[in-house]
Amino acid sequence: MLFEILIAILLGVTAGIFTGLIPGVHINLVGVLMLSSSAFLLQYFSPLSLALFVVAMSVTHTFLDAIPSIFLGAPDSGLELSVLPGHKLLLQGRGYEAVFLTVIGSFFAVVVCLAITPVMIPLIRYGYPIIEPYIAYILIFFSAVLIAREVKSRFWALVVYLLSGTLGIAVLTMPHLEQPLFPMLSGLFGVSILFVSLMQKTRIPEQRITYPKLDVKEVLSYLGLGTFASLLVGTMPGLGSSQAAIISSSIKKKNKPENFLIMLGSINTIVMIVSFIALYVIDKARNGSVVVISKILGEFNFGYLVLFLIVSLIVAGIASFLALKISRVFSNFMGKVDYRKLCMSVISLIIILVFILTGPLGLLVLIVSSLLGITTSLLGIGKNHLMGCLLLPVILFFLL
Amino acid sequence: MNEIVLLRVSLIFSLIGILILFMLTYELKVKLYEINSLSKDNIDDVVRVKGVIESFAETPGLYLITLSDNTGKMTVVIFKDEKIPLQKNLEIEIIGSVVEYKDKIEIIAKQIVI
Repeated sequence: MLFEILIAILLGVTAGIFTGLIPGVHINLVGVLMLSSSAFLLQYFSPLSLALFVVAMSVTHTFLDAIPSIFLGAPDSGLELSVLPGHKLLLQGRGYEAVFLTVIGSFFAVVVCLAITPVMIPLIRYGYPIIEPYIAYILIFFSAVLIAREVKSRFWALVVYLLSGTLGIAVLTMPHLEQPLFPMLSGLFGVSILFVSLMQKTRIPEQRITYPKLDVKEVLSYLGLGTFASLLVGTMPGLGSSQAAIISSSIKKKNKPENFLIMLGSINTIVMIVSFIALYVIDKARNGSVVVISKILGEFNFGYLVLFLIVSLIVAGIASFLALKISRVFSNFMGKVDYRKLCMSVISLIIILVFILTGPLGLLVLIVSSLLGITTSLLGIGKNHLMGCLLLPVILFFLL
Repeated sequence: MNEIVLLRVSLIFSLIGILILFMLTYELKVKLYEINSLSKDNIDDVVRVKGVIESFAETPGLYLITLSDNTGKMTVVIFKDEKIPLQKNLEIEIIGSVVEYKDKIEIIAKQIVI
């Protein structure tokens, strides 16, 4: 049994490397594939090993998905905002450092989660019913703060927020579109950034392996903020890392890219772990991986939760090591390739993946989202206003 | 092309694009079927059916509903993410895919409107 579990974890880590590194292959997609093949897989593996495979894959994914978003500008859901500070560091030749920062965030997130689980359980159990009726107002408040903080033009920030929100509503309610987030987020935060880089003839300088100088107090305050925001949204339906990032970034006034990257790394991982805890405490599945786990395991008890947390910690260690190794390879590679060609290849790859996964309708969504993303870049306002595409639909869902 | 022109072009086309997407969302509304008009030819199709709940059963992972309209009845499976306030004789609309189970067709629900 122990051997089978170890194999399951190792295979999960391997699968997580792929889902994390390939833009567009979201963990939910692999989850759905697993669920549909679970009848077959269960003939050979125990439900627990399959569930641990999903846990290992999900946690590894949250460590590695920063690499394509920082080096290639092709973000995964929840890491859209990391493109911006990540890109900033990449343009200074510090791409490796950017990944290093998200890994620090992710790793300490697991440690913090483990340490505060005894507090989180009652907090989720009693806090969730109190907060749920107000979540729409909380999100409206943070959206307003975000727009009010725009230095360049509040008017355009509002317009972009509302336009992306309208786009989000159309895309998320569209029938016959199986993976609506992939073309939308790739357009808003991926293709558009790459296109503008091409247009402005951005040059990526030679990458150096540098390490950040961090102020422990500041880092801890960002980790705390990330944990708070993740807890707030991790238990709510339809909310995830993206909303947590908006909440925490609108609380802190000046976000140094270094601290912001640590916070984003932590949020992404905490939201995943909080969703395991939420499954145990309030019996609700909050993301694709947890849906798979709950369906494979049936009843989810405290023993499972403890095992999942321990496995998350072990996987976090392995995934940190892997993320840093792989990011070194990317770093060396970036110095040697023609960035123009790389941008065009990544744009082509996104177009092909969108077409394969979502068909012609997805391609249309990708084009419209890219145009809106380009408009935002050219207006010179923060790309975080484009998060309206996920915030506005959720606000309306809770209000109506 | 200078940036101002590009800005105008991208703004106008994103507006038009969002409008088109909205119209498509409305136009592509999943087709409404009467229950007895569904057959094994519809397997894997996404369909919309409207009817009343004749009976339902709840297991830890899913709800099993017997849905009936004027033309017949069929089983609808809903995977449980949230507790749904189901009751007998309640009129509901289901969007889901048609599957075959034990030589009969049933619908795996994706969206439920109560």
